[in-house]
Amino acid sequence: VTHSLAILGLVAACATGRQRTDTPPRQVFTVPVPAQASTAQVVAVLRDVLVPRTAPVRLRLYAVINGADSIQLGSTAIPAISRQAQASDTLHELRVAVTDGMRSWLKTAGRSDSIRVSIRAFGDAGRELTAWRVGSLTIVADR
Amino acid sequence: MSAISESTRRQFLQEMGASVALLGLGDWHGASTLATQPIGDCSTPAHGAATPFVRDCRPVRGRTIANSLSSAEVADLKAAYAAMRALDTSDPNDPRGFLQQAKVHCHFCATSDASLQVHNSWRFFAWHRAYLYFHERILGSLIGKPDFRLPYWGWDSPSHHALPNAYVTPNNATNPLFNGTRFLAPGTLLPDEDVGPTVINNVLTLATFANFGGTATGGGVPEGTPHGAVHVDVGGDMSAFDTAGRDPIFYQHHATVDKLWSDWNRQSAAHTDPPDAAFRNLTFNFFDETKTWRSITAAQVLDHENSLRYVYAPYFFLPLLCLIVRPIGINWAAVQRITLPPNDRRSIVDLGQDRRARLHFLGLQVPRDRSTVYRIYGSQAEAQADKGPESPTYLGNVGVVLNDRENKHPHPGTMDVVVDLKPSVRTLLARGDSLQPFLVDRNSRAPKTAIPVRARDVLFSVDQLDTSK
Repeated sequence: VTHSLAILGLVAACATGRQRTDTPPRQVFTVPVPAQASTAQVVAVLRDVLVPRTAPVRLRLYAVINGADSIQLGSTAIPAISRQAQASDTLHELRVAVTDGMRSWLKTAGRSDSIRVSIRAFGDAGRELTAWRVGSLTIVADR
Repeated sequence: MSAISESTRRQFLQEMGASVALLGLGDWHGASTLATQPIGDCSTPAHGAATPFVRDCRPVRGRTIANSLSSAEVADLKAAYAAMRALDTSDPNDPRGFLQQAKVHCHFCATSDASLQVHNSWRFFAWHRAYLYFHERILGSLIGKPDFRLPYWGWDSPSHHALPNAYVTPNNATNPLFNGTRFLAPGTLLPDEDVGPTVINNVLTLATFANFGGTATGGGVPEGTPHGAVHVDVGGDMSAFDTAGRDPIFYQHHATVDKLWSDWNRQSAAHTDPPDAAFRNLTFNFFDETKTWRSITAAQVLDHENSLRYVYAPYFFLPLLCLIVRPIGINWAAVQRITLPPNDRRSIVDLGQDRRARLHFLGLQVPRDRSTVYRIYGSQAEAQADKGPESPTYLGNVGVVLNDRENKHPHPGTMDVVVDLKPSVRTLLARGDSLQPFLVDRNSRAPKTAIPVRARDVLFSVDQLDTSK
């Protein structure tokens, strides 16, 4: 059965031109915490975001504590361009509100100059995606 | 099994599942929904040079929350979309048709041409506002009701997280507001992660337009969540930009997105739109209800109440007609009195409640030696009596507040003051009487000293209907 599934998967992947990528299920960034993170609105700015455009994508951001995705900071969603679109596209800049998540993290982490942020990508029906990438992440106070 | 091999196996199964779905062997948008179909060619119907948008002089009307529509309003909404859909078969190239309207979004959204793309930048809010405006005008025209306004879904309110009733009742193709590809079932709520009170509050309190509405090269926060998230939550046609306009809920979703922008602007005086010419001169093209290819700029959609003639309810507004101010010279410099030219006297007789007659005191000299309020009267005797607004020639008042108690930093120069004329003053002017305005300090003790008004000029104006359209 496993052998048959593998063949079916290989045939299907070839038929759609789908490429396997090396992107891990999550990307982790360590970024500075803005000085006004406890008082101002806080926004995560994602740059050079490579996402598939044939299906919608949801990106979720988590604060990493002790290696685990512990606090959801915020999320954003990107509709597909078209089922017939090119496989992927790079968006220059996306903004995600992370104010409340950052406040929760600050309560847990106390005073810290940096935060580890994990980003995960999900497709329809909550399936985790692999063909995606975020070029860089910064967290800014909304001033 | 090691973590690596488990991950590899999971990846393999995911990719295999995706591939099977892409081959059409499965529907990964939910078994209860119909698969979306390609929209095909998204180019716009043939058109000539664009005609610039001209000021809309319809009465201002409210866009109301979809679930609050009366049965008559729901009937109008459905009739409008039914008429729009009927054009798809009677004249598929009619730009007012439902599929042609959907293709507008496809044309500007499912494109790799950066000069056309209206997502992921500051074009997002302005372009969609203009798109909905012309869509709304077409719908109103198709049912012969220029006062028709789009309803909005209202997912910014916790009690409206399900699809609006009119869009799912009945939940089949006999309803012109139905779309069979939706993943979101009737009665299912949008998740708080996407439209909950925290999300809405965070969006409305963003301090800068860059974070709210984006920049020339990047989208703002709400373009992702809640906007993109609701697209994905509804699913089916809505989950891809090229097909999204085929679901009527698209327009009510985007009316709610548009309301967010309106609410953000009203939330704080500091919540302003970009002053950059590069933003304000952005120009978009749409067919209007007469099939005329129109151009409209971002600057022309910023004030939706005055320019596009809608507001979001619940909201109190005056049903103002399209008015302009017509100034009338009264030869103040020569006579220091206010007398209306004979030809203009009739203009203030029947103004009605919505129109105003005003006096404009330009370069008014007001004593600045103390903080007080000066009343303005049309005669010296009434100024000395100082009986306030009850006096027949009372014109209004002007306040003076010192910068500091010792008045070490006095206000420089003069003031420009505009006062609305009450009916008794209009009557006096209409019959040819003249007024000689005086100031009097409201807070001084009797006997009062009336001070003749000194001003560079005094103008009289009336509101009149804008007939330039």
